[in-house]
Amino acid sequence: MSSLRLRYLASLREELGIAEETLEVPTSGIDFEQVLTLISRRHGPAAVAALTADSVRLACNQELVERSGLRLVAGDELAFLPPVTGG
Amino acid sequence: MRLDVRIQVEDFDVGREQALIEDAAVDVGGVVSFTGRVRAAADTGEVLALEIEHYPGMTERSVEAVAEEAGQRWPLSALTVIHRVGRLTPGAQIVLVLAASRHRQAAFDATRFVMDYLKTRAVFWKREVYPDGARWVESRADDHAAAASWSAAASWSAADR
Repeated sequence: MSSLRLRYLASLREELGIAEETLEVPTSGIDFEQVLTLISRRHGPAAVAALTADSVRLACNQELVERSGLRLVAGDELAFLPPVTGG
Repeated sequence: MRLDVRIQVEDFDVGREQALIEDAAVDVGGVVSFTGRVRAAADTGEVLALEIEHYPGMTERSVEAVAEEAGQRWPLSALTVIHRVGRLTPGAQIVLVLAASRHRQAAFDATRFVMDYLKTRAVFWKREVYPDGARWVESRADDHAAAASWSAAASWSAADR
């Protein structure tokens, strides 16, 4: 077992009440859907609903990734990004 | 092209940044400058402050990608993009885009392009602080429409000179 780092940015950080946390994951890795299950156990279904809203983008190791088929391994950093509002 | 991208807490000096370009870059026929500032009052009431959050690392790369794309679309001699983060008060400068080119049209177009793309692609989040609390700024449909209007055909080709 080793760690997957989760980052919650901006409004999602407020929603979850934390900026980041780690999950222990098997060395073989873990599917995104399983990550959501673990998050739901810690933070409840409302948190998962916020993290999986259509407007939320995912970044794995700071690169945008699609949710479908996403698999995470130990050492990865998975970030949940609400719609950006820079400029 | 002289490319200078900075994400910083500190304020910037437009004159100093323009002088840096003029000293370092060649072929500067014109320089276009855009400065974004914190508005004093939003639609929803008096804004006390604007907080800008970023994701260190990814944010820098997202702004660099926008700047590099501008450099591919237009013949620029220099492009400077500075975006501030942290807590800013009304009137404070938020963002600076300076585009230099032999030709004014390329400098104007590249500046608009960078701003339109920063709004929709750069990794920042704004939070407005009001007397009664704070609200995250929502992304705007017209910002997305502006960014989408820059089709591949919008770039400035050498044939148009």
